[in-house]
Amino acid sequence: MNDSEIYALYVSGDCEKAFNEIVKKYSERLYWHIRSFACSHQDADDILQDTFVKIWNALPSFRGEARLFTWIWRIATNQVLNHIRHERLRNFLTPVSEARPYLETLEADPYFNGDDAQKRLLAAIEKLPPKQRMVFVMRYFEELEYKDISEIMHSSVGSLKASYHHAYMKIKKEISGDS
Amino acid sequence: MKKLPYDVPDGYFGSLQGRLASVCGDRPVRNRVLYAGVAACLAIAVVCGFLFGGGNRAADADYLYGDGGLAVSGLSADEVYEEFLYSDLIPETDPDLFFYDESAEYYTDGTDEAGAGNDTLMIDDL
Repeated sequence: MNDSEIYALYVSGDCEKAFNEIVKKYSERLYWHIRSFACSHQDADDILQDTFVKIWNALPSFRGEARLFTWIWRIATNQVLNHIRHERLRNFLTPVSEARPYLETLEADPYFNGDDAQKRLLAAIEKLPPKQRMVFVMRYFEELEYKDISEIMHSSVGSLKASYHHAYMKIKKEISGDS
Repeated sequence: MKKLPYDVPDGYFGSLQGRLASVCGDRPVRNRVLYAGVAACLAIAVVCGFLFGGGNRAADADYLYGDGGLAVSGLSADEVYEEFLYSDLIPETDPDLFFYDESAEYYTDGTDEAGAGNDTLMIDDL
């Protein structure tokens, strides 16, 4: 079922069926979108559930002016940005002796299956400012078009390209500095 | 989409859809209960404010402008107003000026009337 069919289903009054179609179509892809930013599978699962709760509650305000896909991604992106802010605040308030570097967190994650290069790439991405990180992940890992990212983040294509370029240069510098 | 270097627990995506589908049954009811609770609290606060807030304002006004405050301080009305008046008139930069009277004459306690002797000021005919 495509987005316009789901929306038509919702407008016809079958809200639960429309929501279940959204879950069926997008849950796995959204999980991987969120997983790029979450420190653990558990965090990603929590953010994903919160995202779907928000989608369900916000569905009555969806008027079909934006595409369903970008609207859903925008909700998920806001949830992720909130999560990153909370994480940074929690790390700031944690005593230095208890703070754990990201690489250690990655190594302790039982669901991480990457090699050393991937570990360094993820650690470099983690150091980016939240919005730059968001643009880089959506473009590099999810391979979204700039036009889609611009609808999701409400930014111009030009500024997104600049953000991606800055992020790319920072990551390159970080990785080459490590080795 | 490039694959991220993470695994998921076995059967995670299978159970995910069932768990997420249950979201649409719960949340709106919870919201309705929450909104009803907040509305009830606000209504109680407004009623309490109307019943008790007005009485307190009347007591405050009586204390400030009526005789209630004077009775508490133990002073007569004239004493209170006089105290308030003088405390307000003493200049902060040179409070001694308040006690200086231009009509009075000042003499030094010494042999020299020009004031070259003792530093003590004697106030005559005050």
